[in-house]
Amino acid sequence: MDSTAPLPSWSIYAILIAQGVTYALLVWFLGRARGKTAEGFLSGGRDIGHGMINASVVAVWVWAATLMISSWTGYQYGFIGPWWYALGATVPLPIMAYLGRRIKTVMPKATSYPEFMHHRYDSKNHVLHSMIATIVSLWVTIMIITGAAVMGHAFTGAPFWAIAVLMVIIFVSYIPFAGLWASIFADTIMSLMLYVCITTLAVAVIIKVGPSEIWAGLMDVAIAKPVLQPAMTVAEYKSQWDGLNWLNPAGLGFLIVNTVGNLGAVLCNQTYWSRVTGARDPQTVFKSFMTAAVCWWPIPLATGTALGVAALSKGLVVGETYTYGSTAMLFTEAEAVAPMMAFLVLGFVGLTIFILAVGSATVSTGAGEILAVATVFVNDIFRGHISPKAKDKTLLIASRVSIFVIAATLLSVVLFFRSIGFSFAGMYQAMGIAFSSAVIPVIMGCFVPNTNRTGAFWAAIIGSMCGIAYWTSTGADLLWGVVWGNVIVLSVSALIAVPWTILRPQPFDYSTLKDAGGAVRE
Amino acid sequence: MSELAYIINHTITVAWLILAGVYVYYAVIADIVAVLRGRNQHQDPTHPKP
Repeated sequence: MDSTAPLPSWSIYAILIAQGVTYALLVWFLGRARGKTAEGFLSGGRDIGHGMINASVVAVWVWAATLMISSWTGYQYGFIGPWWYALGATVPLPIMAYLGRRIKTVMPKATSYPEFMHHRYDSKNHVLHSMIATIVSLWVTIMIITGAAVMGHAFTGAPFWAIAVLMVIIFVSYIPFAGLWASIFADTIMSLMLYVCITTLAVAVIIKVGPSEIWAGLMDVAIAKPVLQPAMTVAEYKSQWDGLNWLNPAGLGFLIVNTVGNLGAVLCNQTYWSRVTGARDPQTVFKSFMTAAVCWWPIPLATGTALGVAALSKGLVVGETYTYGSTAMLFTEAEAVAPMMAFLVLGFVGLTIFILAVGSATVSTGAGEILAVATVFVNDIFRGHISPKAKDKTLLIASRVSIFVIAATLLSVVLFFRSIGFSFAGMYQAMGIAFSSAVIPVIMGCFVPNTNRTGAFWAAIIGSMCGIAYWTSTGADLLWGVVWGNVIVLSVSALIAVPWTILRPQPFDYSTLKDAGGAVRE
Repeated sequence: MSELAYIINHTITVAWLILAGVYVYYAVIADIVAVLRGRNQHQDPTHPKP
């Protein structure tokens, strides 16, 4: 066992396999009846209650990055970092509560959000949003598989490819039994597990380190101004030396990126719309997304404060090796500050708890995203354009087959990117710049009856092009370039869609959507 | 930021997490109870399935 892999490789296999087997058995026993028809498979029965929808939204919105990057913000920006991270990422959930309730009310039979766009707007918007929904979900899944496999490799020494393969097998081990219901049910269990894991770590930091000692450590950092990340610029050092200042400017910039970027990641992501589809009624949708926002917020906030801010107060230096008892662990990079601190507080137990939390977050999100892509493919592409008269049995087979095909394709892409050494640095921010332009057309489609269809279409495309053009002109700058890129993409989109609608309004009667859905036909 | 303010900040983060966890557990249990009651009602001839 080398110093960079404090846990044995079998531990990551055991954690993942145990989760996969548990979810597969439980779903098979409790929910396989939901997978007998394509409607039940893709919609989850449309009768799921508040508790499961609430827990599911929390679980799918907790990514590995939620735990890792929130802690990084605490390490980088001090106590305010986790607050800004949590605020920025929470904003889309209340917005989604209003949008979800609206769609569930006006179009109760909708299965996917591109399907709503088809009936509300037209075919070109349907194709555009089907593509956006597919790319967003695929991109998210590629990032989370890669992130989790890199972390698993770093802390257990297990090969990257083995963890990635195992993870994808687990994604597809239980959703083929019952589709959306299986995904929401497993999310619920993972959500319950996440709270136990993160609360354990947060309480352990209070008991073993304590807020007073953390405050004293932050004061020391502010006075001594140590170089904790040798590869950083002077501007980045300054934000790290300001750990007790709530007006930390770099932290505020991160708030803007996180808010705008996450709008696209939620509002244009079928995974979250699937929770709207599966919910019992509009009130359940609204209540569940609202409470999910309140319940999700403290996850990155407490994790980032307990692990990231505490690490800053202790002055942990990237590249140094730290020990717990007789075991050593290398602090490889700033983004790995959370597992590093978990290890320093509780040793093997802390690291195992953290890996369990990240594993749960990854499995719930990954399975949900793969099912989301399959839903868009079957509901919007296959049934919408390839075979509009397909029978239920054919759609059910297509749903199951597409899940496996999508999983295999994703795995190939992940392994290919890894083999060529593709860096994912900045790719999450790039996703926000590329797709947040579609947010304005989605919101207007839900609430503005006069929205111009062509205006909505070009707003999404031109907004995205302007944001990408600006960001690339700054050399893909991850400090202020990405901030202004996000502001531009949303502003341009609004500046196209709103005036176009005012000048050329196209009135729409939402009551025509009452019986629409279930099949996309011209 | 004073020591007291930081202690309050840190305590809020953990307390909020615990309360959120309690609510999520409560809501899930309430869901399970509702499903079980509904199932029992369906089996009970005095509560015929609509």
